[in-house]
Amino acid sequence: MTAGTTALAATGLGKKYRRTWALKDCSLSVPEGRVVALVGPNGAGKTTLLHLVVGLLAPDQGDVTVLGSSAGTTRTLSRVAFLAQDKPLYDGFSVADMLRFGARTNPGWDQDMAVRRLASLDIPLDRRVGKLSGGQQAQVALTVALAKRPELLVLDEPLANLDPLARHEVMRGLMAAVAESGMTVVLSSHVVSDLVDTCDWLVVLNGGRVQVSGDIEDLLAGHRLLTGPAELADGVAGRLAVVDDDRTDRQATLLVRTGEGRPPLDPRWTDRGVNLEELVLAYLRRPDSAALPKPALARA
Amino acid sequence: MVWLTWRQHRAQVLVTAGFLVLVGVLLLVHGLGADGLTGDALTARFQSIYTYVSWLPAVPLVAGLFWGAPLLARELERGTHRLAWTQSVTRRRWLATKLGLLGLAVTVAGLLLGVMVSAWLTAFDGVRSADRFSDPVMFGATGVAGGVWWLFAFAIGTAAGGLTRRTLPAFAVTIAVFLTAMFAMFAVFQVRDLYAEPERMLAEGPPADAFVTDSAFVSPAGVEVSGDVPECATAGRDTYLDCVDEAGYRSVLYYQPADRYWRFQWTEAGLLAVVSVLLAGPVAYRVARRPV
Amino acid sequence: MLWLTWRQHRAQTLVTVVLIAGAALLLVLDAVPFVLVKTLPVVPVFVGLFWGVPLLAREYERGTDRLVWTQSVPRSRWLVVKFTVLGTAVVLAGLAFGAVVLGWTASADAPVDRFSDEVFGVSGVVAGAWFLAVFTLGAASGAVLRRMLPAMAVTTAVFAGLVVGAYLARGHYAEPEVALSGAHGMAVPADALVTGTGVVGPAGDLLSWDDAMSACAGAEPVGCMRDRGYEQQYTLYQPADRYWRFQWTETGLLLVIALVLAGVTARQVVNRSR
Repeated sequence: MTAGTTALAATGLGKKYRRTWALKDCSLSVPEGRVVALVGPNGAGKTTLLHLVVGLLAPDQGDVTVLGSSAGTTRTLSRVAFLAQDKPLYDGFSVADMLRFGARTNPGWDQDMAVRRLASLDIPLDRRVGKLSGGQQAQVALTVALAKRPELLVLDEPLANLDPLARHEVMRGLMAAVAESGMTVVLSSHVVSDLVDTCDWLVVLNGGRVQVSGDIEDLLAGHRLLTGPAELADGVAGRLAVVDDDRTDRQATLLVRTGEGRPPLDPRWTDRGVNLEELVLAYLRRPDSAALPKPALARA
Repeated sequence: MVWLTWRQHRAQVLVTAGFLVLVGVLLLVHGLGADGLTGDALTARFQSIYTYVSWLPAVPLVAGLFWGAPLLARELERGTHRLAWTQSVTRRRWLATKLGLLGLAVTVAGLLLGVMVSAWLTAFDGVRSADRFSDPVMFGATGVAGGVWWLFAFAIGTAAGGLTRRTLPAFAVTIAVFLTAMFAMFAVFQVRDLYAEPERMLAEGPPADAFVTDSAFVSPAGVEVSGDVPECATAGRDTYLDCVDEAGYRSVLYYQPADRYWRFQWTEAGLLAVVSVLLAGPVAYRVARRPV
Repeated sequence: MLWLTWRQHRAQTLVTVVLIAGAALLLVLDAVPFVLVKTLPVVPVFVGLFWGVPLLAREYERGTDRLVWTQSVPRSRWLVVKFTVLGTAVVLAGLAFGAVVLGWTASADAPVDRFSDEVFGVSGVVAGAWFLAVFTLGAASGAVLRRMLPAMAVTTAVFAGLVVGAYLARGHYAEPEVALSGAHGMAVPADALVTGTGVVGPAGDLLSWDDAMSACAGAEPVGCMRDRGYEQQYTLYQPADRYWRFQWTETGLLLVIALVLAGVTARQVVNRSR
């Protein structure tokens, strides 16, 4: 894992379909070796962003750099693998044909690894892809992506349409591969709980804009959930960056960005740390809030 | 269900309607332009468009491809049958409505085309080749037979889609079955000759518009000779007919009188309608019964 | 890439080979069913429907474009390989079919000659050009529309337009010869392609039937024509020995069309705006 280099950098990235911007002014930077969770509600622009990263789409605005060169070039194609949302495979091909497809279209193809992986999953090579179960198809698609030996693996909703057991299997296989190779992974989801244990970098996309981008541990450490009397809420809001506030007549619950350390507070407040799900939900509820990396953080 | 059928198939309906309007306008302009023409000029005008009119028997195939083949194949391919068949409408009713409405629409479109071609053909009354009965192209493109050819192609397409469950193979099967059916009917079995026993006549020429199906020579003794006349086996090509004449032979013609046109039309329509039901019925039954 | 192209298109390849072999067998057995001759002009559309349209529309429809274009092969190379291999296959199929059809028309009792509208486009070298042009037509409509069924409909409709256009254009590939009616009828050589008929005016000018008739509008036609001196009839024709010259002319035109359509396809594929 070589820290200090950037796996993925976008500056002012924008993509327009007819008249509406699916993605606008999107800037982010992800260091190498991270497992990035790209989170956002349906229609937030996640798929558009990922398609821009892997070069399926060209941006209308700004640019995106992948592993040091611009996205979609022949050079980046061979270093980036992509698993699209519905895990497309050629239905009529046998599983062995799919591996052959990978071998013929990728110079760095690792056939041994692909065969071993499928054998460990009990997926027969001579079966037609269309006859496999949904979970098995997802595993074959993931195998084709992994056996390319990419430096960056991009997965669009890899767990959608899978049952809990299959989700677990897919995630476990993915993490094993990451641990082995040290590649950078970007995976999108609209279900935060899927990502809690596996990811160490968070990007929240909402309404076509990047709201949050940062190391998950830093983000969790830098936010606190305060509960206290409603009449004191405005005072706190004046001093601290409030991401989300939820008030009743008497009580206020504020999710605030504190930065390093605990802020000094009136003793009538109780405070505690936040979990990933609370953090994401707070930002999604307040599209105006943002926690974008300071330049220093992006380089960290 | 009626709305759903319309919403899913409106592209086909609109394109077909556009096609009918286009053909109608072209035939109308062409037919009106023939007004007042006679003789060679009338024939020339008829011939100028005949090549294109002779493509009309292929139009039902296109209807079968774009109306019939996707009907089941597209649903099964995209998995939307699971959506459609889990609503409160039974699968049988879904199928019956679709087959009924679309089959009806396709038949009506074919009948309309038949009416237009028939009307256009009346402008060329004097032209010998412009005959709705003896010309197989015109027979299939006029009257009621045209409409049923559309229905027939639609049934083939639907059945192919239900069996292959994928659009592209359904297309291929539809084309193969339709062309084979046409080939079998007209090249191998010549079914149109079998719709009625032909009339026999000793004559110089058939009555106007009659559909000559066969001819032969009759010896002075009244024996019919199929093939070469024995007395003239050695005669050359140029002298053969003179020789036959001298030997006292007369020619005999078998023909279908012009007034059998409608009888033949209904025979062909009935035949194709029965085959259509036999084709689409079992597939519909299978689709309605088969587990999703 | 070669393997992928073969694996994805082997069904079409095998069916095409079998059909052409079948046509050749009919020729060898001397059992050509001449009712099929009427259907000959539509043969190229099947190349468009089954070779051209699925090339891109099927990938888009199934989402496999996102699979294949994120492997290490750039999409421009993907397209070049597919076009080269399939285009070559299609042209070879067309030339083979054209040769078989020429064989059909050469048999003694053939009811059609090779210069007739039904046969010309699917015989000789132009058959290869028709196959290629309709293949690129299917590919281009699939690339633009991204769905199989609409792309197939558009391919069928545009193909019909192209055939009509070819029928109308063929008479103009060269200045036609004129045959005038005489005492022994019209001296049009056998196997010629007749492109027009009409009457000869008093000054030797050639009038189409429509023009002659409209000049006589309202009057009794036969008498009127005689009064105006329209005695002689004429036929415009292209002599049979121009067959090969016309073949190459039409081949050239179709290759230009194929090139344009291939360009449209390439633009759609390389363009990453949607």
